Amino acid sequence: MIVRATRLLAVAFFAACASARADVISQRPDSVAITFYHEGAVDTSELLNAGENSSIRNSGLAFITEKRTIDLPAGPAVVKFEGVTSTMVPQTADIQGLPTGALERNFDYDLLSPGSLLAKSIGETVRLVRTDTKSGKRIEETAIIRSGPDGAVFEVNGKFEALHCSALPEKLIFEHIPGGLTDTPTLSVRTTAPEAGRYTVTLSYIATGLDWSADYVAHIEPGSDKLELRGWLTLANFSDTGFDHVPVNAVAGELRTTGADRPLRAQPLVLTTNCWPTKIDWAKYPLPPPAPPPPPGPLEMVVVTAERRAADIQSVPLAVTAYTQQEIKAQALGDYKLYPLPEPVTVAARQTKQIQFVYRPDVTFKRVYRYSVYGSEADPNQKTEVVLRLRNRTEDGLGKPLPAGGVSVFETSDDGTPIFAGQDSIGDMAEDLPIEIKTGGAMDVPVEARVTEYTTTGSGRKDREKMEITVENKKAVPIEFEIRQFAFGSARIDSDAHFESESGFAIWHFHLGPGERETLRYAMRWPA
Amino acid sequence: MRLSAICIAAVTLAGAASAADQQQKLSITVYNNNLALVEDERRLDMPAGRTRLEFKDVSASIKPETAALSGAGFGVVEQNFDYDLLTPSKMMEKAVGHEIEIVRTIPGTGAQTREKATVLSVNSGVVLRVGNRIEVLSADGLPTQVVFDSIPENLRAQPTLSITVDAAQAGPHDVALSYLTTGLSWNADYVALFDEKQNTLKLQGWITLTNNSGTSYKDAKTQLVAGDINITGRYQNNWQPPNSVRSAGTQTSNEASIADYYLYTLPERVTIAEAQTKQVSFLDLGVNAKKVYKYRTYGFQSAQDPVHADVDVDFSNTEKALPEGVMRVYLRDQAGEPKFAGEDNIAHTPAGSELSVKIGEAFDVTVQPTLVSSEKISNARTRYAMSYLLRNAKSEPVTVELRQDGLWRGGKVETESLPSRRIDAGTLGWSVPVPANGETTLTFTVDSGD
Repeated sequence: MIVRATRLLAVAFFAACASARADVISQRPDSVAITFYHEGAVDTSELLNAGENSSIRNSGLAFITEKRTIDLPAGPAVVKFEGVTSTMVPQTADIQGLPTGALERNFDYDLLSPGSLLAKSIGETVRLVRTDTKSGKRIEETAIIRSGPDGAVFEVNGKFEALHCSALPEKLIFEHIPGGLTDTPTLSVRTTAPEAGRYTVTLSYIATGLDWSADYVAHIEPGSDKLELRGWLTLANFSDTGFDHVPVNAVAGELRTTGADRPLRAQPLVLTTNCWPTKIDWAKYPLPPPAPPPPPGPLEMVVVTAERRAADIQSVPLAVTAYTQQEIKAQALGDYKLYPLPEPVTVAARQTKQIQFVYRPDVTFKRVYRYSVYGSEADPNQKTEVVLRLRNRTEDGLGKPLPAGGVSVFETSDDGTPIFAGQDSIGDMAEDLPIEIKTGGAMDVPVEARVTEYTTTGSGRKDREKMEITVENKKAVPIEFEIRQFAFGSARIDSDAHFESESGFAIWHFHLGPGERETLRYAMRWPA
Repeated sequence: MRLSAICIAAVTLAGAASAADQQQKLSITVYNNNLALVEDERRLDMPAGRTRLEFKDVSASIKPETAALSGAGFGVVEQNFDYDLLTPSKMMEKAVGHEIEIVRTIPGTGAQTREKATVLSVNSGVVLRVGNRIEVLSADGLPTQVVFDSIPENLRAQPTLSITVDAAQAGPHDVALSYLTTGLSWNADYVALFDEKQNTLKLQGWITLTNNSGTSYKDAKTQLVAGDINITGRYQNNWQPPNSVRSAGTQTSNEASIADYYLYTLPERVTIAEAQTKQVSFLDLGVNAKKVYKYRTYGFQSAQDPVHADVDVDFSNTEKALPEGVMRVYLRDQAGEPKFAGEDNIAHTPAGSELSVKIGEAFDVTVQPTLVSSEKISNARTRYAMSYLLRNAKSEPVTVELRQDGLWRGGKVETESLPSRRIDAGTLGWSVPVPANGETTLTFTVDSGD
């Protein structure tokens, strides 16, 4: 008796100790700020088609800062953070503002599901509810769970039965939820406050499922040597968490990442019944039966996923917030560019949002028609390309850091309708860099290129060849035309016409009036 | 709940002593590569002679071959690990030749009849002998309950380790059970706040411990071993993260060490719950650091587009060894708020090493190489004339560390616009100053060597 009393006391003491460590729940942040990083071009139709479990959720990168107010009691406490972004990368979480710092941080993802409920209740007493087949009345018995989610066996009155193998309605009623199971993965921190009080803490972490890219639209009026350039910040949120009215930054530049920043995807335990065969198909098993190895029983599978229901996928609005002349000035973040959005925005779950950040109405550009020879022989499939050349400087109407992204070019036709003229992508363009936008092939500038003569050395190696390239301008306007010969390795170029060397190419420039023809002859040598 | 667990253990383990509830002291040593050593000390009451002890609360991912029970006053006869799991279909298979009870519901009246039956076979269906009749269970599709008298001895809800011991005397014995388990691993995560004006790096280290072993460990003394230990197995992952150590240090860190590994002991006992990632701070260090722009090229060729220079943070970890992990670098924005600025892997790094962590690429600092000419000197030697255009769109001057790889035996510089250094036999290095909002062209001619 004395022993028993002591043990009870000990249990009571233990319980008191446990309750001395208070659980504090921080339900939601007071404010959130998001910094988007650029990983790849945002393609909304790809995001639309990606399923809910697609690994695309793991791509994209954002840095999220939350301000939260918590009331801490004096002494040790565990603070649980609810309402964090579902794609949080838990090991990147950082909590500032706790009175004595964090003793440890935990991220628990043992999910409450029918399977885990059963698995954690093995050996526990539960109530088994059945229906009396005659009266339809409810019969409640005490049962002990003997095996878990791979097929439950329970014990009633010293006998053993299997759950859901009799085709009769039956269910288990549990007294409580076993410890450690949680509805959603939860971040918590263990800390100690010297005195009770209200604290403002900053929780910051990296999350995936958020990405941004720049998208540029260039408009060209007929005959003009200026184009209008608009740049859009395209923000994509393909996580399950929406952000309401939050300050947003976008960071341009290439960050190094290790691939380790992936959200933890908790897999709920799957519940199966694993019964013996109960559906007998006589036709399928004619006598004498074959002697197969005993196959597993038919599986009745209940798959429970812990995904919260995503927002309505049918309506993915492409919200466009446009202020026709709006520009956002880049700030420096180390060697990156940081674009703070001028006002808080709402970034809903599964939404692509665009905000204008560049508006340059008069950007000087040069339209050049270009023909390139890459090998030692002309490729008959090589077309004349149309290239728009810009220089990213103030005197040309630009002079802004331009983050990497796609450029769509529209040209206004003579009747005033804009026509899509082609698309290209640019890398991160610092100020003063030259920019080239290839819009497509030219129809009206036919080129004929041929090798007219070549010589070889005694061993059969080609050491000299003569090229002849003829171009005709069939357009009604004069054009600037370029021929580029890639002079790889030790090639030498002999040409009477003046040429320039740039980035490994020899380049000849021509100005061709309407209907004008020009022929270029040059030779390439490969000295021994 | 604890008491009820003891009661159940007493009911089910007729003949076998359960070692479930006397767990006293747990110590866990976690390695980097998905492995942990668990040492479990408990006091067990043993009768004299042979007893089978069942350990139900060991890790669900135990490597049973490594289990060892030690203690004074008893010897280990044998140890078994049983993983024939209890499911309804398994129970029916094991009932072949035995009697079960079937409860049928008669349609219409709902009355239930109980009959004894003997299981004849379980092959894609259960064949029964009921009295003199041979029947197939549930062939009529009517609800049929099956009631078993007992659970076969070898079927268990979880895989179970059992050890048969032979004790000299009855009474309490102090035993220590040790085993290896998978499902536990750790790595370091570093938060590095870089101040490029002050040239300082505030480095915080967190131990990130992940438990997917299927079992919780309550109040365990926890140690972490840093170092690559060899493990045999069908599959070995020999992949190493790219090394950011420029020069390995020679200082001895003040961490405890075992053999050739460093050992980190958590300051207090912790509970490592199942399906949990636990982080504990282990390092708080301020070091001098500086930002370096780097551009490295491995051959002699032209690029059509400018290439952004790499941004590295160079520092030395004096005093402290750094276990393998991911270093995330943060910079303060104009408002003073830290913002993520890139991350790099670091390998196990001895104290006093020179580290170079690449965080990303500089938006405003670019390099555009052009191969001006190449000519053959002899069959194996080539003379390359290179021109590198370095542009800086920042409002302050920068210096780019340019590295040209690709020299062979006897390779040398013939002419150059800035003085070079020989970094190693095959690599030349230039420190190229680029003025604010300006550009510098580096030109040189090299004899490639052979």
